Amino acid sequence: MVAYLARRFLTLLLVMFVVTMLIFGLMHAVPGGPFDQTQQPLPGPAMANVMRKYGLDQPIWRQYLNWLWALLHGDLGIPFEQPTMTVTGLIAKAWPITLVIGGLTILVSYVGGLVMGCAAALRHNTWLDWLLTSAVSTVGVALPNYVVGFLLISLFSVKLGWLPVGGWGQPQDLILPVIAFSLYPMALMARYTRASTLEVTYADYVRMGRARGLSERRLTVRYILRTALIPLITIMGPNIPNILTGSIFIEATFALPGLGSYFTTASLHRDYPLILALVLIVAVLWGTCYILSDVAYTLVDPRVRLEGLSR
Amino acid sequence: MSDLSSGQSARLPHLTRRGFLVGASALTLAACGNTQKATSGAGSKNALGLKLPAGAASAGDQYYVLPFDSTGASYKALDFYENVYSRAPLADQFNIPLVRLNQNYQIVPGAAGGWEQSADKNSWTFHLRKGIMWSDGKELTATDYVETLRYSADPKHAWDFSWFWSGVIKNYTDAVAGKVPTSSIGVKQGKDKYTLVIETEGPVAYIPSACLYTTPLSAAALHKYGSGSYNINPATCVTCGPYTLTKFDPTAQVVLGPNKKYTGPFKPPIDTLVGKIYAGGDMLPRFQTGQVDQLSVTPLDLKIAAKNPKTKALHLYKNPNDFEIWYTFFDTKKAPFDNVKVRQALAHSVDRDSLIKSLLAPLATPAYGYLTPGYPFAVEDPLKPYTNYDPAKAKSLLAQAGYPNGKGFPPVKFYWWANAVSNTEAVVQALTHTWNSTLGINIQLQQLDKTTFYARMNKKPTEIQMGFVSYGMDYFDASNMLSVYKSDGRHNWNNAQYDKLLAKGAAESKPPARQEIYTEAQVQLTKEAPGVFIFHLLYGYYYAPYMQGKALSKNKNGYDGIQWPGFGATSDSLQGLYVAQNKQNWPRQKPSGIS
Repeated sequence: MVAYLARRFLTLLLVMFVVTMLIFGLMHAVPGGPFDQTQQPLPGPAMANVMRKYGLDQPIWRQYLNWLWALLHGDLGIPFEQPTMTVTGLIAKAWPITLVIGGLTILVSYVGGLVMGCAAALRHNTWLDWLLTSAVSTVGVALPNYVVGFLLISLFSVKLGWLPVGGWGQPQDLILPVIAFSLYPMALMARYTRASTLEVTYADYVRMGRARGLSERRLTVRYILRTALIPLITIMGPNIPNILTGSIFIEATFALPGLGSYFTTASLHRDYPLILALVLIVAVLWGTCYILSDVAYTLVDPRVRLEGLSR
Repeated sequence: MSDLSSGQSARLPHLTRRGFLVGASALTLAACGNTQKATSGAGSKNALGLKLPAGAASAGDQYYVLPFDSTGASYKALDFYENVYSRAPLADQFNIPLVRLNQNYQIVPGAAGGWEQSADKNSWTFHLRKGIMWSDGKELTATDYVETLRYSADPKHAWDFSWFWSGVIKNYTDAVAGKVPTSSIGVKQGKDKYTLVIETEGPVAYIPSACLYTTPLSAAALHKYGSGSYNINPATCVTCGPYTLTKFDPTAQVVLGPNKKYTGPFKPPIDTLVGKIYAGGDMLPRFQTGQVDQLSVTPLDLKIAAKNPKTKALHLYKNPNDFEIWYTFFDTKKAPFDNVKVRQALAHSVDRDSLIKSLLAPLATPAYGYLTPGYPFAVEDPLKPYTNYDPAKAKSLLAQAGYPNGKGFPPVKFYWWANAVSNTEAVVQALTHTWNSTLGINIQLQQLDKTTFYARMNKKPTEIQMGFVSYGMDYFDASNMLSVYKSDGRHNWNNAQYDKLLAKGAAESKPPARQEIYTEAQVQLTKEAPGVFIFHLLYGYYYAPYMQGKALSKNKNGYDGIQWPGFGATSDSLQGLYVAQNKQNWPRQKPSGIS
């Protein structure tokens, strides 16, 4: 297991290296630089001063090597758009907010989705099944989270005045954004859980167990749910990085000063150091989640073996 | 930052059903409890010792919360001479410029009580008021202005607005290029420490107007900290304005509290300013629930607000803010737009009044020329013969250019970038449809992201054949806006006669003579049609009903609400706004972190 993990992490490092190199090249290739002015372009000497100040007057390969060298020393650089902070400081400030919202979203959506999906499968073709899968899940999948956000704000903030319209700093600020952010993954989870649970419910080994006289509770917990979890891990894995890096729509709708908005603003402003740092975060999260998904398969189903492990 | 960011409050307790209901009730009460009703403070004094006007709320309620949408923006500094294009909300409050702008767009005394141009017209002398003190105990003197302007020209500082004084202040251009030391620029102390002399490259008539942007840094603090960034840290902030920094969080909130050491001449009734920073999202609910005291509205907001009984009763304040014009520009060096008749044909094909009525009203006015009515030296009637809606004339001009009924006219890409405030998508679609259907030509729309658009437009030679763009003023004089079209400027229309008129206008000190020169320049620009001018943007604002004062009243041009350059040290709106008693029970939430 250790050797397997070591190999996967080494591959991840290589992938990150390639990804950052590609991104570095691409972001310099698109038109417009971080210090281009819109109203009145800077005269030549003034622009030269700016480029020199930020090291952008050097050849691109040297800029990349400088960045890489700094990274190896734990320095992600200075964001062009907020030069009084470091990229590390900026991420350290914004990401915890996104992680709190994201963590609660994962908890609510995955637990809620599992419960809804199981309940619908175990009571399939009943009113409960219809309510959970058709009404709640379809609405959850169909409605974009910013629309849900606006609806929640209109009802609970503007009309009823019960909850804040947005902001950050008090526990009640969390309620609406987490609901809005959770709805889609919860609906998705519920639908997949229902489908995979139903599939297992009619499997031969479950019938066999029932014939052997195992109780329904034991069958459900030990056989049906456990096997049904395997396809769910495939769904859950890729969703986690998306949720943990934030939703620009949710953060904008509810005025949360999290990480999500930086993914677009950094690109729009051509803020090279910040773009690279965010790409690194996403790459690491995706890589790690895939590795953890593979490990989770073996925990849920011992028959699954990791490639390269001795049998 | 909040408790939540440290992760402590995020650990929610185990919830039973009863617990949930109790908690939900408590949250509801807590949320409702934030709403405030201001009590009377008339006759009492605020934190700066100013007696509050009749009808004012108590001193504790004299705070003003402004929303800022940080989408597409970044906040690096609070001072003009540290960074211009990325100043944070509530910038420029820590100092007093030489001059200020009043509600009627007149230049009035600021830190300088008076000024005059030298006999040879090559320099201006400003006489500073005595006794304005910085919060570190030093007096505001000419040295602060001299050191600030020298700092702005320093190549190491790489100031993003150095073009502003280039070619205006003597030796400034060479200092920015590193050819001469910054100490050689034409800004120096005069006969005493209260006299500031600005030497210009030649006669420059508009210096007082440009000096609206002389918000100085403290020379002592600048030397001590090495840059103007000291003002984004409450511990190092040095101010001679009525406010001081309490909190600077460029992703969430900027808070300014009263500078109790203030000795300057302009005391505001409002003690505390809060800039709420939102990364997008819908601002209207934030205004409706009392999170903010003011709202900048888009045409879409107006439609939504009209359906709500509370908001539809609000007065819509309208003003041109930075006198922004939206126009279509051409690459005049290449066919088909190198032919003036083609450009004139497009100018005569636009029914500006209908377009504005159907798409932009009430937040725009038709642009028959480049300058918005009300802007210095702007004229309208002499320009209408060149821009009036006349499809028959347009067709005839196109035929004269060699494209009868559009025959032989090459396909053209029309580039634009989306802007919700100016509803640009609808406008460019309407324009394209009009031109194609009226003239029988083939113009195709192509959207770009803003940065790419400007990068391609600003390339020399330009990479955009035809585009839709805006320009807002930098200082309040025709020489600023009209210079956009001078040779080798923003666009590639070169006209020696026009350049000569601009140079003559900039040097002329007598207003009637200047008017004559700038009228001629505007006629020339409009007649040659290097761009088709479409509309002048009006900004719409809602203020919560308890926001009151002279600053919101109508000016001589009929514009109202707080006007350019906003609520701050550079305008007289600072003294003219206060929080009145909340008689209409409009919801108001006091932001956390203010006393």
